[in-house]
Amino acid sequence: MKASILSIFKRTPKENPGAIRKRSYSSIALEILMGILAIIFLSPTILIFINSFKSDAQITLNPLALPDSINFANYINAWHETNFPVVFTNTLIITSLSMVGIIIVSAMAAYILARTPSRISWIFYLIFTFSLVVPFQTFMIPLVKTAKDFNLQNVLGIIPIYIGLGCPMAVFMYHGFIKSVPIEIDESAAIDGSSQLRTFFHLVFPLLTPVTATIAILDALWIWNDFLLPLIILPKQATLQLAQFGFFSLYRRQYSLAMASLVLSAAPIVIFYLALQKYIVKGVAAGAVKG
Amino acid sequence: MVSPKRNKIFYFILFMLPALILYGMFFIIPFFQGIRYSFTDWNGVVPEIPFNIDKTDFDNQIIKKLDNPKEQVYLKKYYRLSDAAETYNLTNWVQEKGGSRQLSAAERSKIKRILGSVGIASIKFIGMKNYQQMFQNDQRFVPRLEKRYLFNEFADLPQTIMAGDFHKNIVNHIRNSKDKSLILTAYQKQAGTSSFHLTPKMNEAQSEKLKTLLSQYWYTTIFIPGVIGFTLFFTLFNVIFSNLLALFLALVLDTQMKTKNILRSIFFFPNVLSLIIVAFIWSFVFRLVMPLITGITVWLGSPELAPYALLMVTVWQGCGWLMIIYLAGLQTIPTDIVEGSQIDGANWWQRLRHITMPLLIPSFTICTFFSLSNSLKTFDVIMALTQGGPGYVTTPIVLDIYYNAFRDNQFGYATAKAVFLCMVIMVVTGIQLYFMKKREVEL
Repeated sequence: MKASILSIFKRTPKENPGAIRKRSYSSIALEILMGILAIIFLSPTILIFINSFKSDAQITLNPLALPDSINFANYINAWHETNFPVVFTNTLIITSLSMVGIIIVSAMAAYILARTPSRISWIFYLIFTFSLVVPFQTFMIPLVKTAKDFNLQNVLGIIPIYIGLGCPMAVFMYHGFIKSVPIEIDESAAIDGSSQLRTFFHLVFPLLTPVTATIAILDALWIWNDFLLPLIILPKQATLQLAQFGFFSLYRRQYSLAMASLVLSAAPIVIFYLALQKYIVKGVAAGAVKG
Repeated sequence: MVSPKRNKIFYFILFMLPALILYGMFFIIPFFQGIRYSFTDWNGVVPEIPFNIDKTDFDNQIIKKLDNPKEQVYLKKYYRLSDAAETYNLTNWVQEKGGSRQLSAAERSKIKRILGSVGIASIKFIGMKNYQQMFQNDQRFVPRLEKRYLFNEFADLPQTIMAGDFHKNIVNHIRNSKDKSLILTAYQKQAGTSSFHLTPKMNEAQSEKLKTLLSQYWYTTIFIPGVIGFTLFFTLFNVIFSNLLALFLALVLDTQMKTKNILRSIFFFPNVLSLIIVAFIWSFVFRLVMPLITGITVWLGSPELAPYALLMVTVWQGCGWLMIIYLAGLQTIPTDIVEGSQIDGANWWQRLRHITMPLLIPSFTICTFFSLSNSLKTFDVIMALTQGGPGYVTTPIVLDIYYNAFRDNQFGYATAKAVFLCMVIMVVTGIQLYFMKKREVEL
């Protein structure tokens, strides 16, 4: 406190060039520390990637060594064994259609809930948010029975289930955002004779793009990586995660094959992440703060 | 002309309907069915309507008791007499004009209702019994004290017993004074040592008696945390460690670092991978790499290390997500407040303690909420890495529920546990939100 005036001088670079030098030293130290931490963080993944090019004997001999030669035999085997093209297409269909479904269905519901200030919409809103705290195990088995009764135990059938389970979170996030969209837009459109359905899809929905992007990213990560729901609903080996699970238990001791198939199955989502990382990180932050 | 009010209701229903139907079908209805099952003894295997019924039972117990002839016809339509004419079998396929189709859910529930009206049901309501069993007769569920016996009746008598062991684990357990004196005469403290030695002059009967006494009273009491204990341990440490690490990373990355965007992407990266892949990566690391680096060969199979190994994996995977939330929170702190405190001479620690932390409480609220409810629900990683073992040392409630439902065939019981977990999560996160919301600072 006593040096409050002096400190202003200290922090002026021109007055005291030593201060900035000192600061950059510590920041270099910090960068090195964080670099080491980042390498430790990534090391398990890097190890898997390195070892996926080796033979089993080489892996057990020394898992830390670099491969002698780049060998794609593991990858070719894994590609055929996991039936990669089919499984990949299945997962892509499930993820993209569920994502689109969740977005349309919950944007509509959240819009009408936010625009109809009444006790009923408040109750509906509470009903939707209630599911956010309920563990999946509570309704897991009855859900399997429902799926069986309605013949939904196939790749297309799981999509409505994902929409049903994914819409509460999306309704929640849309609801928070729509409240900030001025209601005058709706009113002027109504005066111009536009129906509410048209107003929503032509005027309001395009304004929701930031949240839509967030929800799309969160749901893509969730559905692509989901394991338990496909496990109990779908036939064996239908999605990438199920195929991986089956593959790992089948080739428990054949690390080389398992690792190559792991890299294959993780590649799409990793590429998705690397391409969109800026938006993903932003989306997660926005989603969390809204939620 | 449609009145505006009716128009409004029409659009309300139109917009709500798709979400409501899917949500109701796949969450609300299964949820309430789940709650209903938690009061039954359903084992998850027995179908809700019997597949076959004995012919005499069918005629006497069911058809005769049904007053409504329509219901009799309805039942006979679906239950066909077998070739041997001994049992009535449920036909799973219904013949129709266009071919055959499977029995529908509506038909099943009608059959169930008719059978239920004459008292035939394969699922019994047992009230709160499942909830009682959870806390009274579930060996692995609740924390408890267990006696671990240290002496086997058929082994030879030990020549020496350490003093601490002797008093704490043997003598203190004996209430009968005669038995106590027998032990105390049989084992004498030797001068100069801290142990008790067996006196050589003893006959056969005495030593037999001594063996029985030792096998009966020589034990230590150990604490078994049980499923609840492990869940609490795991949740507590996961919340603490992942939040601390995430906060540290966020604070560092919030400074003017050149590499901060790359680092942020790296720390978030584990979140992109599915839990199946994460589990495989770490099982490889724990089996082949960790023994090479640390020299400790058994990680996931060791009761002492396995819980910490799991914590390591979940913290590794979870902290990136929390870091992003903290970073977002840090960016909302106005720079002029921070600069003002710098001018006033506050050092790094004072700024952190008195400015950053109080303004970051909303982020704390969100992060603790996320990590609390996620830790209580952690399933995939543990399932894939340790299967809850060794023993039940690393079994959290969700995995216990899974085992009860699919391995022990106690579906009603498992759902009761799930309902219990649901209430725990609601109460815990409710309390957490209430107290943390109160501390949030308005700018």
